[in-house]
Amino acid sequence: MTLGLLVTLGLLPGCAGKSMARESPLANTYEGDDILALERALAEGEQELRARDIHVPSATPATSPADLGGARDSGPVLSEDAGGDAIEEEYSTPEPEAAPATATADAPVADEPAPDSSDSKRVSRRDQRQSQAQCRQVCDLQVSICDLKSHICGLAFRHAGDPRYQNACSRASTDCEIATRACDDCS
Amino acid sequence: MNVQADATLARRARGRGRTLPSWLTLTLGVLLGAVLMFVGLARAGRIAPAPQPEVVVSLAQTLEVEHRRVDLLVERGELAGAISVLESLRGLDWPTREVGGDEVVILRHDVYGRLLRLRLDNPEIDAKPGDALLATVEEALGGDAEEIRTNAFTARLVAIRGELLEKQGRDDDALTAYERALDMNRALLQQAIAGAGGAP
Repeated sequence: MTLGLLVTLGLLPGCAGKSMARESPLANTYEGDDILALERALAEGEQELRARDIHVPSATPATSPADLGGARDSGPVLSEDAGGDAIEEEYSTPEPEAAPATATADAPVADEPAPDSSDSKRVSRRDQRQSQAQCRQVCDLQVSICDLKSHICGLAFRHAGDPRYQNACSRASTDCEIATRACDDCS
Repeated sequence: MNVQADATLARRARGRGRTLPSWLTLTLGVLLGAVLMFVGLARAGRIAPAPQPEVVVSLAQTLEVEHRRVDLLVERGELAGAISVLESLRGLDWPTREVGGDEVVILRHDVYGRLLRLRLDNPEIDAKPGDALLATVEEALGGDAEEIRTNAFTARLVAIRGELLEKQGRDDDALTAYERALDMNRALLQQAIAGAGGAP
């Protein structure tokens, strides 16, 4: 009986902790997830709600590492910029309906725009911005990779007889070519 | 007398059937309970607490302001001021990875990478010896650089480490660092290409 009680006591905190983790909306989304995916999920959820005539009030997105990068003198830029911008537009576009989500029959619906066309335009604008941001990231990586290639091949020049350096230079050159082609293709 | 003998025999029979003394059973029960509790707590993330997003957001907002200050200083050509701002951020009480997750480490790498890049590009400003800059890189990378997800800021920092090692004539170590940075950038490029797909 003592053993059974101890077993039960041992399992209880684990179960409680798990349920608390499930209840916390941030625990599941934050774990190993990037901010862009989170914003996308939020935007998709918003669209679904609007499609069901549930009005979602505007909100200010929280600043996150994904929004960093902007006007830097040098260095990498996170690709989530476009996602962040797109989400800002999602939130800042004024909603024609003033009624909150819980309003029912009294909420005016006559002047409400058709959800499909405006939502799809918003989605395609967001997709375009994401593609542009991803292309920018590809080109930023091309700069980094080709810079590394210069350094590595510079070392290889000083160590002409060392196969490790030559192989490294050869690999870096290939990477730089691939990156350059990828940047040209998406630009 | 027969009754007493029977009672004694019965007691002896019960003794033969008992496999463990009571104190041992209790100890095993306590141990088993403790192990199960530990497993339960660990699986619920209570032993290693889950990252706190509010810590990340707060840190990111603080750093965004500082980065913008640095942007302005750089634009105005006040590089010493820009370096000074970034140096002051080294003294921040940086949250650990356990508290803020990979993001806080990446943010730290971003700040240090930017500082070291400015120093390398402008060695005449507040000149520091190579050893001191290398120590700054090691301070930035810490013990968790290998554990976080691949990202451009860590890759930049590792590449900068390679540059510093090369300046010190440590070519083998420099090559190792460059190759590591290249591996990271290659992985990021593959992800980016997969994501860019049919970009215009």
